[in-house]
This record gives sequence, C-alpha cells and structure tokens, in this order.
Amino acid sequence: MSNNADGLLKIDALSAEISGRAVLDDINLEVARSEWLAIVGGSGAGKSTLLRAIMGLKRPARPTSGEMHFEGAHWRFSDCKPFRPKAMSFVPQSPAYGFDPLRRLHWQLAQLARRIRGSQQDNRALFDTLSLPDPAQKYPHEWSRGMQQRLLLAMALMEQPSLLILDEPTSALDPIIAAQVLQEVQRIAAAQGIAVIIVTHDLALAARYAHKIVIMEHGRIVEAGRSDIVLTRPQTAYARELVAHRHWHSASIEATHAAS
Amino acid sequence: MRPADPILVLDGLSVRVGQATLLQDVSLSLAKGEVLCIIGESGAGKSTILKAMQGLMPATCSRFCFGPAGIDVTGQMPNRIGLPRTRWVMQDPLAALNPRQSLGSSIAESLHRHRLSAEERKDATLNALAQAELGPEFYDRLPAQVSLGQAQRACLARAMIAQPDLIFFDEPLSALDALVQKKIAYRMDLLRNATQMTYIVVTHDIGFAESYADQVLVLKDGRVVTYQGRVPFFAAPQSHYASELIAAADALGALRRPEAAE
Amino acid sequence: MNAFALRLVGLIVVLAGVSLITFTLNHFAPGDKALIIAQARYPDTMGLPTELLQEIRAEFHLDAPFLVQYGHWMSGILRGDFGTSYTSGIAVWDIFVANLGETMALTLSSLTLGLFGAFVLASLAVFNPGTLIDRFAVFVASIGAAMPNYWLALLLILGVSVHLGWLPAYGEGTLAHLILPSLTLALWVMASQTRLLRSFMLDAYNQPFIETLRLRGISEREIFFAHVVPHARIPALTMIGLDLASLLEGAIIVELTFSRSGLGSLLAGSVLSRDLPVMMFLVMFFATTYVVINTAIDAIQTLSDPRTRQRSAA
Repeated sequence: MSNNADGLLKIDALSAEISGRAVLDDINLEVARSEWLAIVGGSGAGKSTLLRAIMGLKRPARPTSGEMHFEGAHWRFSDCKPFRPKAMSFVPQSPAYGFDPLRRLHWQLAQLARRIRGSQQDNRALFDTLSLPDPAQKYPHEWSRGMQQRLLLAMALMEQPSLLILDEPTSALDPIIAAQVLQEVQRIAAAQGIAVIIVTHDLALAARYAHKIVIMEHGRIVEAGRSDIVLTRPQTAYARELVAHRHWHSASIEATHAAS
Repeated sequence: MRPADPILVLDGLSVRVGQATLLQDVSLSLAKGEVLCIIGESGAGKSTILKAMQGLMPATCSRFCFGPAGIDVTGQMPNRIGLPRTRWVMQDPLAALNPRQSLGSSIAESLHRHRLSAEERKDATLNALAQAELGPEFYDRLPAQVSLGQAQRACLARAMIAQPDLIFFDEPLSALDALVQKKIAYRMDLLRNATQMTYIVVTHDIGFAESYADQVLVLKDGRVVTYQGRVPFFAAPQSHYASELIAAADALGALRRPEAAE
Repeated sequence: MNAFALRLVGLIVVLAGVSLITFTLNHFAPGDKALIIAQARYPDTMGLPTELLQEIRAEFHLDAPFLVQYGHWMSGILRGDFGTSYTSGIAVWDIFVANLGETMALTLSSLTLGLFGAFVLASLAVFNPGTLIDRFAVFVASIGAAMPNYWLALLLILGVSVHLGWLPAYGEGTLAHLILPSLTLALWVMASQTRLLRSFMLDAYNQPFIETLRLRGISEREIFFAHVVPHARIPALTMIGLDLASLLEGAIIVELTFSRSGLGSLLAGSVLSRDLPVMMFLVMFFATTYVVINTAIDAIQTLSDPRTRQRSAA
C-alpha cells in the first residue's frame, strides 16, 4: 500500500494477546477518506478483537505493540490507558447490541450526547434524513427493529464521524432492514465523505460494497488489496476458498468438488 | 402449484394461541425429492409451520396428508405425535446435541428403531459422518470439541442416518459463517440428490433459495403472501413484499449476479 | 389488571388454606385447653373445680363441633377481633402491636445493612474478576451461608460483649442493644445475597449492548450504575423477597438468643405456654406477610421491566 496523501487511518504492526495467547499478530491497515474497507473472516479470526483495539479498548485482548494514526492524532497501542478516537463511531450489528431494553430511547440518546459534549447540534436534520420520528418517551421494544437499527445509525452519525465502523451488518438483521441500513450508509457516507469499515464474514457482501478487502485468519491478515484484485487473483489458499464459495452454489464450488 | 404425485399435502393450516393468530390458511404441497424454502422476517410464523406439522402446536387444517407415515386427516392436526418418517435439523447445533454425548453416539441413537448389531450400527454411523464430510475421528468427539460448522454437519448426519422421507430444516445455516454455510448447503443438496429426500427449509436467505429451492413460500404476519416455483419467483414475484426481499438480497450481494464493480 | 385480580384471588385462597391448617393442627393438639386457661388465670390454685372448667369451656366454645369453632374464630378475624390471650387475658392484637416495633426494627435494620454489605462485596468481586478480592467475596459468602444464626449470635456475644465489653449481650431499648442482633441477621443476609448479586451482575455484564456502550466511550462507572445495577436488580428482587420472609423466621432465634422482646420471642413463648390464640394469630401473620411480600415482589418485578410491564397491561 502506498503512502496515501488522503490517508485517514493507518495502523502499524498491531499485536494483541489474551492472557499470553496471541490473538492479533502484526496487523497493518490503511483507510483513506471516503474509502470503504471490508474486514472479512470466519468466527474466531480476530475481526471483533481488531475492531475493539482500533476503538481503544484494552480488554479482553490487551494490545502489546503497534501504533495508530487517525485524523492527525497518534496512539501507541501498548499504552496502558484506553483511548477513544474522536470522529470514529460504531454501528452495532442489531438493536439487541445497541440499546439497553430498560431505558427509554431519548435517555440513551441523551447519554451519548453527554459523552460527545461540544456537538450540541440539532439532531432533527439527521433524524429527517433517516426518516426517523422523535423517540420521545418510547422504549426500544416499542419501535420496529428497522427503526431501531436506523436510530443506531443516527446515533453513530451524531458523533460526526470521519470513519464509521459497521459490525456484522447482515448477520443478526432481516435482509430488508440490513439492505436498507447499508444503502442509507452508502448515501450518507458519499454525501459527507465518511470512510467506512465493514466487519463481516460474508465475502459477497464485502465485494458488493468495499473498495478494499482485508481477509483475516487466526488473528492475522492473510490477504489484502483492492476488491477486484482479491476476487480475481487471490494469493493464499484460504482466500481462494472464500472467493470460490462466496456465492451459493456457484460453478466454482462444483469445480472444487469435481477436482477433489 | 400442485405436483402430480405429492408426498406431502397441507391445506388451510391455521394456528391460534389464545387471541393471537400465528398462522392463517397456509397451504402447500411437495413431491418426493423437492426442496421448499419458507422465507419471512423473524416472527412471521416460519417455524410455526414446522411445529404445527410435527404436532407441537394446536392447529387446524382442511387437509393434512403425508403418505410415508400413512397420515391423512382433516380438521384437527395430529397432536403431539412427532411426525413419523421425518427428522429435524435446528438452527443451533450446540443446543440440539447433548454436550456430554459423543457425536457418534448421538448419531447412532437415531438408529434405535432399526435392529442392528453394534458393528453394523457403528458402520452406519461412520458412513453417515462421511456423507456429512466428517472423518471417522469425529466419532468420539464431544460437541464442545468441534467447530460450530462441524457440529451442524453432525446434526445433518444424524438426520440422514434414519433415512427419513422428509427433513425439516429450521434456519440450519444462520448460526454459521458464510463460507461454512455455503459448504454445508452444497452438501445438503448432494445428499438430497443421492437419496431423493424431501426438504422443507426455513430460512431468511434468498440466496439459498435461488440456488437450491424448487418452491418458495413467503410468509408475512402469519399469512402466505407468495407461493411460487423458484424460476417464476425470481422472474416475476407474486407480491410486492417478495420483490422487496429479492431486491434486499441483491443489495447484500447474496444473489448470483455479477458484482457491481466499484 | 386481569393478572392482578387473579393474583389477589390466589392470595385469598392461600390464606384461607393456611388458616384452616393452623386451626386444625391446634384443634387436634393433645391436652385440655380449658385446663390450660384455668391454670393461667389462677396460677396459685392447685386443684381446679370442674365447674370452673365447664365455665371456661362455655366461654371459649370449646365443646362446640370443629367447624363451629373454626367459624367462630374466622368470623372474629374477619371482624378484626383476634381473641384474647389465654394466659394474660389481654387482646391478641394489643400484644401483637406492642411487640411489632422491636421486630420491625430488627428485620429492617438487618436487611438494609446486609443488602448494603452484599452490594459492596458483590460489586468489588465483579469489578475485579478472578482476583483475590473476588475469591474473598465468594469465601465470605460461603462461610456466612454455612454458619447457623444461633451460633453466630453466640460468637458475637462472646467476642464483642464478653471479651471486648463493647456492647450489651442481651436486652433491649437502646440502639446499642440493637447492634449485635441486627448484625447477626445482617451477616446472614449478606452471605445469602452476595453470591446471587454477583452472578446477577455478571449476567447483566454479559448482555450484548454493554460492549457497545464501551465502544461508544461510556465510562465503566456509568455502565455499572446506569445499566448493570438496574438489570441485576430485577432478579435480585425475588431473592430479597424470599430473604425478607426468612428474616422473620431468623428473628425468632435471634430474639431468643439476645433475650429481646418481639414477635419471635412472643411466638416461642406462646408455644411453650400453649397460648393458642396468640400462636395462631402469629402463624397467620407470618404466613400472610410471606404471601403478601412475594406477591408484591412479583408485581414490582413485572413493573420494573418495560417489556413485561406493557405485556401485563395489555
């Protein structure tokens, strides 16, 4: 990867461990402004660990080395104190991951607003773009899952991010809701120049949206590059397998089975 | 949509619990070796259809006929019998397997009605494991010692070994990674081709239906909004909701169309 | 509303059952009740004349058939007349009211103290998982749960009163007298609640949205107090309700050990002197309290979760 003048996020040699066992090993990443990066891998590949480390959490995996540049700021991962990069925000995979069921929605919005401070902007415009009504006195379960998920997106955008992280946007949601949210993100990210990281196990989804793909296995990046290149010329065995099986019942599955 | 020689006919199935109507007037019929996909959002009543057919829900129908088990009833659905000659595969394999029982003995248990020697039983089990792409080393493993995908393969082997005529799959792939999903789906299809079993698959994955279904039934709020063969379903879906589902699946890259180059 | 009415009917059925059982057991208990009453009224008389016993039998309807006696008793209760004590001749209600305060002070102070201790210990354990603090909390809880009340009470008397001489060993009236009995029960409450609270808090932490709060940059402090504690509170309420009922039972032993007056020692005294009206009233009171507390807790629990609250309202 070249030294991009438009660079937004750069991670160098990030490693992390959980009680002595390495869970992330020498991770290097770069994301430019308005760029979409997909982090693809199976369960246990280290995707969520990587996501937590980028967002500054030190538990359960403790980063042992590595540096991060983001929006002109610089962190060493091995510093003990957790950090919270401003202008980086997170959309959880489903409402169950995003809302406390015992708290009213406006309370949860206010909690986030208190944390962001400074940005006392009016959220009405944001709510309008996502065709959301005012949550008022409602509890999460009183809204449909689609509305709840759009509200989670709105909460992420309240932080006025330059990087938005989508965690498994398809695995816990009904397809219509998932597609709707992704298309909203696409529209808003393009309009505001936001970069997006999608964390997913689904290469077909990654290929549909991301400019760049990073494939992880056992805490390592085994393949990285522009989406079209990863899809057409995968280098490692695992990447080749993912590419071959990215569609249901594709010709390539039959080819691999005929060969074996 | 009525196959010439159906193995399963269900007409006018309704399920009411208290005031709530969970299913209203669901009809379907399947020929031997066919795959039916039941699609809908969470809470639409997909699993309720399976439960009603298994007699696990108070349900009424105008006709329920399942030839292999000699069942042909009208009015009340058979209650609490478990449908003979059928098997289930559930969403969460770890919930479906006894955590203290080896995969081999879980699978062999399905053979208890067949009079077999211990050796024949083990051979049949190893054979079933092999059909699900699991080597003999998995015979003695516990569910906690294998991956989720391998556990689901073991469940598939357990369903297959009894040679049922019909298998109910209740979201069999949604707990799994995309790669594992696709491998198991392909394996399910190979086995169906080899045995001519009939499948009813509850799923929210239109991509699976596009590749493997013969019929597609779409539920919304307990009602059938679409019931079509696969080809007409994707070419000209009967309902607006079905076309929304297809569009969503396309937007998620789940359909077999060329990727939008960006 | 429907569910609430159903619960109320259930409550009445349970209480009617308890009253019948209590009355039956007492009715068929061996011994001549007239003799007991006579002995209590004239403690110095040796040979009691038969006419006196007949008079007493007539006064208390002791010769009437079982159901008539039960009817008398129940109709009295429904009219708010709980009878008079055999031994002292004072109205049962007055005796009860005179003793209620001490027991309330004891149970409520020990419940507050014990819950506070349990909360602190459980929070420390949850904040420091797997460390010595965590293990210490579980250890203290296990020891406390394994130690019987009367033994703990004796240990406290020995240590704090006899050896150190800090606090009175028995009696009542001042705050100093309340400390040891209250501490005995509080330690028991703390022991039984710490482990439960700890696991309820861990369950609350394991909910998927907690991780998102961290990723949003919400502080651990806020996550604990604004999210974990309210979630842990719901299941904890049930356990606290059960404890409150057992506390009344514990009060019997503690009040006897520390020679305090109160409902517990009153019950023990009435059993020993076979003062049936007092005893039956207290049994009914304990049963009612138990049922009412648990019904109330169930209702509060339903109301504290917005999801079940709306379902039960619908």
